Amino acid sequence: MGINAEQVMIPIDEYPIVFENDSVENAAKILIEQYQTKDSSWQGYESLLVINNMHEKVGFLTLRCILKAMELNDTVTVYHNLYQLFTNGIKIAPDLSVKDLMRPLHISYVKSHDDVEKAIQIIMRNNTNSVFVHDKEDIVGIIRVIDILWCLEDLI
Amino acid sequence: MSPMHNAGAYMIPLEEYPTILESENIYDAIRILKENLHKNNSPWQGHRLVVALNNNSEPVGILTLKCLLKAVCLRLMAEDNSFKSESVSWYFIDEMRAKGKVTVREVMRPLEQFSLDYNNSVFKAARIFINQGINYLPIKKDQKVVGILNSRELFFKYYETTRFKALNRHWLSNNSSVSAFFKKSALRLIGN
Repeated sequence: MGINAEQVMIPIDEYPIVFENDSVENAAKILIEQYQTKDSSWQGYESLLVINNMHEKVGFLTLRCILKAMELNDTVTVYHNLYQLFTNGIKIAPDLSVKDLMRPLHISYVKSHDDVEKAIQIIMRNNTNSVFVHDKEDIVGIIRVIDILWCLEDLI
Repeated sequence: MSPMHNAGAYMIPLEEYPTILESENIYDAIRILKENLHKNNSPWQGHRLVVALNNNSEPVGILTLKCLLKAVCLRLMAEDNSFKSESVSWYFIDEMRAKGKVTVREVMRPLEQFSLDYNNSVFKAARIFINQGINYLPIKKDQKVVGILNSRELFFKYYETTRFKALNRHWLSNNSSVSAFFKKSALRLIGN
């Protein structure tokens, strides 16, 4: 019998939470606090579960999402956005919030009883570091690439 | 540019990483990675990649966790009947796997594929991480790879240094007079 997604995933309840209207700066602070409470190792979580005002799960804020905020300061991106402003008139947001950068939950997921190979195919196809695990239309966990390492020899 | 914005300031020197010969089997690479992650008797503390060396002990590539996932995809391809019937490559992949000879070289990322100069900005590094979908970026000094920039380390150390004070605001919003100037110029051009 193969290894299924549920056997490898991290349950969603273990993830720290941030509100979708929070600032990116606040989200970064939460991630840092998590890092420091785990003895400064990255066994902690490199993502935050995003909830709305009704406490419904709406997305995930990953490290890569926060790096996107840094990318906006790169000269090439700035010049590109200047061009857009000149030609199309882009909306300038003075502050980035979590919902501007988060990864939505409904994109690219596996079911809890799916083989972990399906999760690997989705990760490689989408070039991401993780994939969501759903059960009965609700997210129940996440599989990160590092979680797959421990069963990799059985999969190759 | 302030040194705290240099990509090189956040890299981990190449000599700190575990190494493996590119001709070695990937099972040996997995073993090295697992041992490395359990350094200091604590999980997750170590590096998550192995530097691949050629026969002259020169670094030629990096083997990351996602590189190892490629080996799983090779197995899935070899088991796919439609791939078997349509592609001559199936024969070679099957031979390689049957002899347990998927080597590091087959799945590693060559060092030359993506790299960044030591003095380039962390913002440019962030752009490469995002656009290329990678987590590790070789850093070059005088055309020679001297370290690896890791997106996690970049995030954490950059936060320690700057508290992200330079972020969270688009450049244009900080310079609203500049954006107003461009808008005004554009409107003048179109005759408004």
